[in-house]
Amino acid sequence: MFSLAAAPVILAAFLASTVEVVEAFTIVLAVSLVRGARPAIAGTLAALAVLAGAVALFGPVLGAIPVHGLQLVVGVLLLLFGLGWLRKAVLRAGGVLPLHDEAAAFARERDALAEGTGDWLAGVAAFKAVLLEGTEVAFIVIAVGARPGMLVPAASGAALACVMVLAAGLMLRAPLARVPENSLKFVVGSLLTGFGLFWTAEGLGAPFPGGDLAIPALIAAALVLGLALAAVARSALAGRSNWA
Amino acid sequence: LGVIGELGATLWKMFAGDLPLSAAILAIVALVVVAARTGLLPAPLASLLLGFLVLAAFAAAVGLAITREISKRTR
Repeated sequence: MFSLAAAPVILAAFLASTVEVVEAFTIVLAVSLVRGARPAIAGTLAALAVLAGAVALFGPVLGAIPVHGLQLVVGVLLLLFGLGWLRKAVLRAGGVLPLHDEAAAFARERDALAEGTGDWLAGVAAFKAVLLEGTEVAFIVIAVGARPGMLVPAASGAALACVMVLAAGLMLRAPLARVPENSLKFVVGSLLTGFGLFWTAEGLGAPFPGGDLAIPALIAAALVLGLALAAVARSALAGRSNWA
Repeated sequence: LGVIGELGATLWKMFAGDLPLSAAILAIVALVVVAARTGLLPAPLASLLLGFLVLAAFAAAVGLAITREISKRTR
């Protein structure tokens, strides 16, 4: 179906989309449980329509940009985005930042919605959640699929994530708090950083030695560095609290 | 308007969540572009330098955040 070279692209799009869809699902679920299914569905469909319109509008523009220019721009954006995720994941794993709590996010949203907001505002909450998280999914799909023949595998990875999260959420009817979000962010941050470095170098006309084989090596380098930094943070903070 | 504002904030957070790190990455890319385009560095060296400098900037940004947190907890 897809070539072996598409595997890291599908994996990156799938894992990153899982994180984003779980976050959007938490808000949509809160809207649905507090205000009913109607505003939740209406807000979600409206956001998906806006996203589809934006992709249809900007997609052809991307095709008109020269390949090297597109690779450079996408590579740099992926680097900025991926390193941001990896930094946050390292600081959370190292105990510098608190872990993201999906159950707490759900409770906050549910309490806010219960404070007398109407169906219209509840629909807007669902719309915003799907639009904001969906924008990140759209960017990731376009960025990791920015190579001839890779957009369909990337979109398939994202679609699979949507289906799986929705299926799990509909079965549980509860926030997906047991999804190991920080571990996913760690892996996704490393994947996006690896892709970002690869595309940036290709865009510069100075590709890494080894061709496509450089991609897993770059991903591994980012992952190992992230794990080492998280270990340093843990031991530094533990040493400080023992000393204090 | 509120949604557009939040969309702008999301995009800003996506690409410039840690502003000094993002600025450092852009500066490194600009430096390597100049070095590669002027022929100062051969192609494989330019890509390896890019990888090394980007990961070093990342390590420095995380190290700085850890140091800040330690000094905050000490206070």
